[in-house]
Amino acid sequence: MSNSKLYKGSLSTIILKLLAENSKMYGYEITQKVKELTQGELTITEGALYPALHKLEADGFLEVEMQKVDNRLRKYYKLTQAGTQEKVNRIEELERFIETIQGIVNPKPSLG
Amino acid sequence: MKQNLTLEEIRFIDNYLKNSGVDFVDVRTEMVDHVASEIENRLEENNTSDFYEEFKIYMVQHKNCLLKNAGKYRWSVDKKVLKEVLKNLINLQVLTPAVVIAIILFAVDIQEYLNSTQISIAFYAVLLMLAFIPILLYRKIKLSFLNRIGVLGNLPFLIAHNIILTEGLSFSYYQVTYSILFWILISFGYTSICFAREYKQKYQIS
Repeated sequence: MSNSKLYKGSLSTIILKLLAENSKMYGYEITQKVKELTQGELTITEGALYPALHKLEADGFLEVEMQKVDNRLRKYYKLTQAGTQEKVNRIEELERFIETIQGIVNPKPSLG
Repeated sequence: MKQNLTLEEIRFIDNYLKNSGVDFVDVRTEMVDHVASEIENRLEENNTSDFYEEFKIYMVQHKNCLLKNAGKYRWSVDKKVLKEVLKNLINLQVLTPAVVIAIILFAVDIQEYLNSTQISIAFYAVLLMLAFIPILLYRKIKLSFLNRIGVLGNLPFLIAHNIILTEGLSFSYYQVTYSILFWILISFGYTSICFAREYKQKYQIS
């Protein structure tokens, strides 16, 4: 992930969220989807994406499926049942985090 | 219009990565697909360019990042391997030979024939031979998890060497310790065979 260190901690959550919305995805597809959704604001590098995918797989949140596509093998990732639950937890956690930061960056003026 | 890379171009990427030190088939497969997808995308955007030109530009921009990623598989693979080895400890195909070995160890009084040093060396040699079976069986297949099983499978030997050979435990302790070591080792062997079968099929290795 090149743009900012701020995004780094959210990479796994982004992956889980995308996989929840698309039944299965491969690495390059994830990078392109993120680029598209953020209008190029966020780019995920190979060096960040694959270790994150492999970690999620080792943790039992993702399962893989191999398919022969266009003269090569393609590794598709899918959410497991544990991954689906983990996605819910992480999204909630991220939303709480954004809310907290919002409270610091843009504090609501107090009435008193 | 999207232009798919030919088999020769895919092999070219694969060989390039292999020669750059990405030895393991399972790690390389995913990288080949990533590079190929990116080049196809670039060729679609710029149809006056060709594969070798785009490959060169891509590698200049991304080679370091790509190769850095290739070395980061270990922790994930170790976790996967150890989880499976632990799970297989209670698998009947692991448990049965382990129990048989334990019964033999407790039933036969080896001390009648060998002294404690000879027993240690004999068991150590048997354990070592057992560990080499999967390595010999799958020596031609370069897969990340086989490499890590080889590394992690050495742990029982380190325990055997450090505790048994240097401390000189009593014979009853030998029986228990070696029973456990054989049990763990059989699980490592069984796991490597299961993984090799699964990965050979997944990655279409003949």
